[in-house]
This record gives sequence, structure tokens and C-alpha cells, in this order.
Amino acid sequence: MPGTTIPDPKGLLPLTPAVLNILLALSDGAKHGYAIRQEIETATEGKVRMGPGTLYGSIDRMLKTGLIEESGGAGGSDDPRRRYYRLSSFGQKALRAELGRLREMLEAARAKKIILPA
Amino acid sequence: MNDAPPTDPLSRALGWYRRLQLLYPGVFRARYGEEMRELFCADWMRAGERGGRGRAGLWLRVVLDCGRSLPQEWVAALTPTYRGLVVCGLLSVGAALLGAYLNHELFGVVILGTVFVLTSLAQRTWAFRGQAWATIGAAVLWGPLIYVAVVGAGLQAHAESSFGVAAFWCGLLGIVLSTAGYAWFGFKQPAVGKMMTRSDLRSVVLILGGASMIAGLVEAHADSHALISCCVINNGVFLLGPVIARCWRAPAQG
Repeated sequence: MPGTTIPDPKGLLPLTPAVLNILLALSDGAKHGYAIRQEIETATEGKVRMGPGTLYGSIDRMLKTGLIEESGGAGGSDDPRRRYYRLSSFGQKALRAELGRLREMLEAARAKKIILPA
Repeated sequence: MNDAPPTDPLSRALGWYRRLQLLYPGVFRARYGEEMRELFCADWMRAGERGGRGRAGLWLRVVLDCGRSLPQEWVAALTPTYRGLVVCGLLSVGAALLGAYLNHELFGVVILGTVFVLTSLAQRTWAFRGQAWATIGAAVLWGPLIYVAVVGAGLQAHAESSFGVAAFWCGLLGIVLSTAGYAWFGFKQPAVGKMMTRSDLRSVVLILGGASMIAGLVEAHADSHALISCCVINNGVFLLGPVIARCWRAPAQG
């Protein structure tokens, strides 16, 4: 909304792996629950497999904290009963803040030569 | 419609999963139940490609998923008022068990009595968060008196001890005075008065009266832990029961 200040997401950091994965999955557009899970599984090469309870529990809490919001739907021939979710402005800010935090940690690890530079 | 029980494996598995979903709070089930079943179906198809082991693995993952998400969803389903009730209910049950462990020690009497009153007051007033100290203060003040009355009722039922009769009347006087004090506060101090609505008063009377009667009856026919058991049942059933039932029930479809 124009003129609305987005709250500082620092209080939410560090994000849980489930929340971070969902935010990443939604970073390129609105998706429904099933598509979010597929995206996470593909991105993590099957290492992260969220069960229905964990996925929808995380989605519910993210809706309540305002990290994501329901979108009207992606249109097309998809099932109209499916709910679509997208990143809110606050969610985008939180995602950037968390990735920044992880990058700083990575750089600290590189400085200590725990991992080699890419 | 065909009412015959489903025979194909997917329908049967879905039936079991639907039953498992009943463990979630009603609001969560109503909102996400169908989409969760859709995910389960997709998992079932995929697991089927790996045969029986795949499906066994799927059920294991489903159980783990429930184990992980159920506590979170129940905590999320409890509004602040309900949380207060549950905390008080658990506290009172814990204190009653502690009382059972300590049996007739004075410490047990004070703790149990305090939480007994705290529980009664918490029916509605825990939501009155700004003045929680007043609720706790009132409980600390009146709890032992009420407990003495309840114990007195038990001892009176035994008809063995003159102490029982004296304790009963002392406790009863304490209840009357404290209730009158509550009413006085209600008129004179609007902030504290908010603590006690008419339904709270009814609840306190009901809980105390019911507990005293049950305690007296059971105490007369059972061992010395019967009174404590009554308190556990009373607080557990009357406080935790309605909250859990209300959260479990699915909201009406709008």
C-alpha cells in the first residue's frame, strides 16, 4: 500500500528452515501449497520434504505474521478451490534480511577458511 | 451416493488420514484439511511406485509430521484467554498432584488452595491481563480458607473429628467474607470489579459447591487421596475440557 511503512523484520530473524524455504519458493510468484512443496523439493534436490501438517502450519503462521498473503489465484485451468499465496512486502524484506544474515555468516566462515571461496 | 466402505487402497488410506486429521484443532482442519488431503494423495501415489516399503515410509513420515505440527497447531489455536485457562488448569492439576504427594502437609494445603481459587477465577478473569496480580493476590489470600472448608467437609463426612467441623465452619466463613469482599470491591473499585462478573461468581460457587460435595462423599468412602483426585478431576474436566472441546470443534461453514 503506498505510504505504508513496512515494519522491521529483524525481530523475526533467524527464520526457521521451513519459513525460509517457503519464502524462497514464493519469491518468483504466487503459488498454492502443493506447488510450494514441489518447488522446495526440487530446489533442495529432495533433501527437504515437508509434510502437510508442517507445510500448512507454517503457511498459517506466516499469514498471521504478515510474511505472506493470499492472492486471488494464478488463473488458468488450475483447481479453483486451491488457495494461492504470495510474498508480502514485509515478507520480501524479511527474506532479504535473512539472506543477508546468512551471507555475513558465510563470509565469516570464509575468512576463517572453514569453507573455500566460491 | 455409495455408502459402502471404500475398498481401493487410496480411499482406505485417505480415510485413515482423515481420521488422523481429527487430532488437529477445528479451525485448522476447516481451513487446510482438504489441501492437506490433496498433498497426502500425491504422496500416496508417489510412495506406491516404491511398493509396500514406500507406503510404510509414507505413514512413518505422516506420523512424524503430525507429531511435529500437532502441538504447534494446538498452541496456535488457543487464544490468550484460553491460554490463561489452560495454564491455570494445568497449574491446578499439577498443584493437586503435588498436594497428593505432600498429602496433609501445610505446604500442600496452601498451594492447592491457592491454585484452586486461581483456577476458579480464571474462568473469565485471566483475560483481564492488566490486573493479573490482583487475581493472584486474591487467590493467595482466599485459597487456603477455601481449601480448609473443603478439607473440613471431608473430615466432617468422616464424622470422626471435631477439628473437621470447626475447619468446615471457619472455611465457610472465609468464603462468605471473601465473596462479600469481592462484591464490595466490585462496587468500589471498578478495575478490580471487572475481575468478577456474575457468571464468574456462579462458576466459583458451582465449582466450590460441587467439589465440596463430591469431596465429602468420596472422602467418606475412599482413601485419603480421594479429595485430591476430586480436585484433579474437577479442575481438569471443568477447565481444560471446555477449552479443548471448543478448539477441537470445526467452525460453522460460512
